[in-house]
Amino acid sequence: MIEATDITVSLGRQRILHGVDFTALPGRLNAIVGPNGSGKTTLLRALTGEVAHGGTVAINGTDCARLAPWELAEQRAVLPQSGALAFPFTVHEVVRLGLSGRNALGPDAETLPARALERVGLAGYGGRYFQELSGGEQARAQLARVLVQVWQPMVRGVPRWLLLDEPVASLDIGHQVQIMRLAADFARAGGGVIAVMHDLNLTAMFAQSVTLMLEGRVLAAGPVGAVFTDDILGRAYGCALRVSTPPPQGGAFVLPQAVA
Amino acid sequence: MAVLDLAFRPTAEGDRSARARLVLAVLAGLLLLIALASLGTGASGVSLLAVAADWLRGEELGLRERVVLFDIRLPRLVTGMLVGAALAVSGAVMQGLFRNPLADPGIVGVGAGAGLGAVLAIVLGGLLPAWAAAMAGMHLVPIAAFLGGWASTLILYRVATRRGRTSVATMLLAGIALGALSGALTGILVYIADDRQLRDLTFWGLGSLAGASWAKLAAAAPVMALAMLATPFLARALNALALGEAAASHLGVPVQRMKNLAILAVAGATGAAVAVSGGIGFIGIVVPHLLRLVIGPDHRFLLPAAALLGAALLLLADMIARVIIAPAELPIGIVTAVLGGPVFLWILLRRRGIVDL
Repeated sequence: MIEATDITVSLGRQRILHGVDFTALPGRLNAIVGPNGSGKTTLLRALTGEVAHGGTVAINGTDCARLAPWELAEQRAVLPQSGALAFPFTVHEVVRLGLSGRNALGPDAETLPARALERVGLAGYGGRYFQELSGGEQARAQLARVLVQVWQPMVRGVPRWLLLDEPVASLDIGHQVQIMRLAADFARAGGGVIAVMHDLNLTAMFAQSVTLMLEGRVLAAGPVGAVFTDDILGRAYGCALRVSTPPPQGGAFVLPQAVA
Repeated sequence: MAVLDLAFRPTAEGDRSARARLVLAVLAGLLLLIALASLGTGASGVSLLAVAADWLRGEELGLRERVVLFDIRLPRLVTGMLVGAALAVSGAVMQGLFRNPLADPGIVGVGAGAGLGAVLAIVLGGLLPAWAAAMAGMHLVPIAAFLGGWASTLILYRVATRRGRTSVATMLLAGIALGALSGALTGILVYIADDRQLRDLTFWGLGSLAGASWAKLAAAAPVMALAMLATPFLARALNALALGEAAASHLGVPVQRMKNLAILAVAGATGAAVAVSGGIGFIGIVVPHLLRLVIGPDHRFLLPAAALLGAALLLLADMIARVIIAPAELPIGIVTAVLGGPVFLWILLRRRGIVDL
């Protein structure tokens, strides 16, 4: 479990997060959604320790502040929103950076980069320069690196975590579904996933739990069906939204209502 | 030089570690050959082959041969190797730390800071209380150079880096300012120096291995060696740092501690190198850049390869400096600048299309 209590974040004089409580259970895809500037990415950065914050974050029962970087790195991997890279590393070399700590010791460790690239749909891209890839390909290569870092979703019964900041923002619809399936598989195998999401429909299709942020506070949190209602979404996004459930899938679909 | 890019394209798998190991072996062989050639070259005309033949026949070495080989050429050889390796490694580490291939202790004012430290020690060392002078002994100049380089690196990093991002423009401009300031302070010290100190300073400032001796080496070598021994621990962290400070930390790198260690290593290697050989430019920027084209930027291989190639290139430059106008010799700094300047310009041209400086 990743549990954040009373998280406050300020940038200068402006308060970005006002005492947010957040809980994510393993075995689930936990989505954080909300309009632009609602604080969802800031919440994820507080969870990863990238921004200074008040309150506490605990991972699998231990306060993150008391764990060394390598101890944290063994329990969770973080996918940044944009990955600038210095120096001409090949895609293989970038993905290999995910081999850290215990991961690098296993007998099959050196095969992991190629396997991870295959899973994100970049098989055969290992020899390309990372900087020569398109934005979407770079995002998937970074995801492969993150996957290598927490290749086993569970280690001795303890779940490991994927923290993803808008993992599908720059991808086409086919790769969006592929990457969301990957995250869902990781959760099904016992790992935990926290993903900041923009696309409400993908969220509805793949997430089991949703936290909806508005103006630095949690507006609603719970199962998708409880949070994604016309009323709550309309209030969060400030426009008329209709949630419908098409028969074959069973997931919620969110459609904007054109105002006549 | 685009040929280099094409010739050394990575393989389809993108794993360049096998190639890097091969390059390391080749460089080690090359260094050995150049070292032997360097040992056999010199104004005195003592030939290594002749000496070796005599020795094999069981004859005692003559006094002249022994002095030339063991008291003149050998300390110069070891100094050249250590200084070349130290300059190249500290260039590579600094570039990794700043995430930029243009960062080099010589260019961003760290060399000048180390120089200021060394000049301070030469000119004002006599004012130290007796116990401090006794304690520092011969190590005074290398230690002062190290402190100067360390302070410069620290200031530079603080100024140029904000929230884990280093601005290239700020880094270069801050480097120019630091370099100018150190240069001006050095100038003041030169002004108040006495004649004997002035001779020391001039000799040292030109950048030369000619003053190499076992005594100087004994003072500076431990600092250079320690600094370079620290770098293998930095390799993985510097690789991760290429993704940014936050990503490096998520990969388990203790970023702040690693940055402190990197800054100390750069200051130690640069400071001690400057202390024994003055300002020798461009090794730190040209060597890592050429190697990145061939074996890639993985610091696990880049750092040792930089040490080997830096040592080999400096010995080569020293040989050129010794024979080109023999029996006189050029300051080696002139040779490395003539060779390195154009390569540096070429690096800038190559990058012009990729990033906006």
